[in-house]
Amino acid sequence: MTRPVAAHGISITPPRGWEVRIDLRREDPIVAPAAPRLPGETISRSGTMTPFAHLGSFALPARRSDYGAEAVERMKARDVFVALVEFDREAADTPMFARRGLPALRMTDFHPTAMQRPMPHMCGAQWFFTEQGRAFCLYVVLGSWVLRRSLVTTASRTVKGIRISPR
Amino acid sequence: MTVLVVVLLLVVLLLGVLVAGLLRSHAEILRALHDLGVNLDDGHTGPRTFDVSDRGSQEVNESGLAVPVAGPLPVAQDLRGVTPEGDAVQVALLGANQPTLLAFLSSGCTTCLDFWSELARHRGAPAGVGARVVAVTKGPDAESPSAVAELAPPDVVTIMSTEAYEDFGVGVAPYFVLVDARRGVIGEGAARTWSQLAGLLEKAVADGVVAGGGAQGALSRRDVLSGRARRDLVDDELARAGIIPGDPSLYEDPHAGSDGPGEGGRSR
Repeated sequence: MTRPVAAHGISITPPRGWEVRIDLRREDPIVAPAAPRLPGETISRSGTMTPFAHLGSFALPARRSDYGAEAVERMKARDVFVALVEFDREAADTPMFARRGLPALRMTDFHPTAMQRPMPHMCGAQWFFTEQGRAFCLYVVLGSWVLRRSLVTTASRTVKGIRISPR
Repeated sequence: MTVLVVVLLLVVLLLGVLVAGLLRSHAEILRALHDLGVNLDDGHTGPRTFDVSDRGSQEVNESGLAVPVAGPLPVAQDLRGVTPEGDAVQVALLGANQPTLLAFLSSGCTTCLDFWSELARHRGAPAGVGARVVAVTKGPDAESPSAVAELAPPDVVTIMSTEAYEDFGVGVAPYFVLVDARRGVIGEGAARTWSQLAGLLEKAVADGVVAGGGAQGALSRRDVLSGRARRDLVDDELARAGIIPGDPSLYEDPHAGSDGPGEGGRSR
């Protein structure tokens, strides 16, 4: 493990040789039309600004969407990718985010069809949870379905290095 | 009266010469500072990135470019810092799938501006090197994040980290360090143009291959830059072929005579 990388209330202590980004989703300057029931209340087309973190056992590209599709495309068989995406504060503790705290990763959680965009030989898993009053999705991709046993161990160790503090 | 006028004219002439000398000296100082990355132009509100106390072990040649000094190559460290937008970033150098070219740049020097635009145009390192590029500026304490954000190409990872400058002993931008994923730093140096950088990288890669997996830090910085290892390899190859230093065949004109195989081939 190395020293932690921290921003936006997320602290990550990655394994040695891993790349980390903790970004804040940029607010789109274009404002969405006001909802009929909320006259006068405007919001950016991109929604509110919430952070997302990416961890990779490989070189992460400069441009990445929230769930890192551009990074996943570069993965090799022994690579692991982790995305931690925060949702709006109002989502915390709703049924979808009822789970408390970061999940413990199990091999049986992973499946090729659980990927945001299915890729040959890869598998993924995602969890929704609330931590410190904040709603998150944890999305993990393993570079190989066949090697998932060892890769889950690596991913699990990486996720244990994530700390979330109240905002 | 005439004497007084002559004396006054002489005084004015003397003062004029003095002012001209001072202006020239001032211009030379400004030019030298500019080459070192300090911009004192009117309206420039960006930071002055050159700091004598931060020069580390580098020297600066007469062109204002940093010159690596003899000694072991720096040990590759993972980069930690922030993006120009203020986000946190850690870039791994060892264990990556490909070599990484660290481009230490600043938002203040004109030479760096050319490299920023070339990085944007090429979306990475010069062709043939196969390295990804990470642009590194000093941290927000020494550089303006908004100025760096304007220059940073969207396809190139840009990190602001004074710690990285210190880790790699970089004092003056532009400066480039090539890090092999397995062997660490395999070359470093300064360049004034994109083509110079390409040449520098080719030599570093060639020397890195020649060094063939030596332990990190085993190569001297001067060995890498001067191509001493490559020269020794060529000498060994020639010796195995029976050609030793001073051999007459080394001094023959390869194009002498018109009946050589190459010439004959072209004439047919």
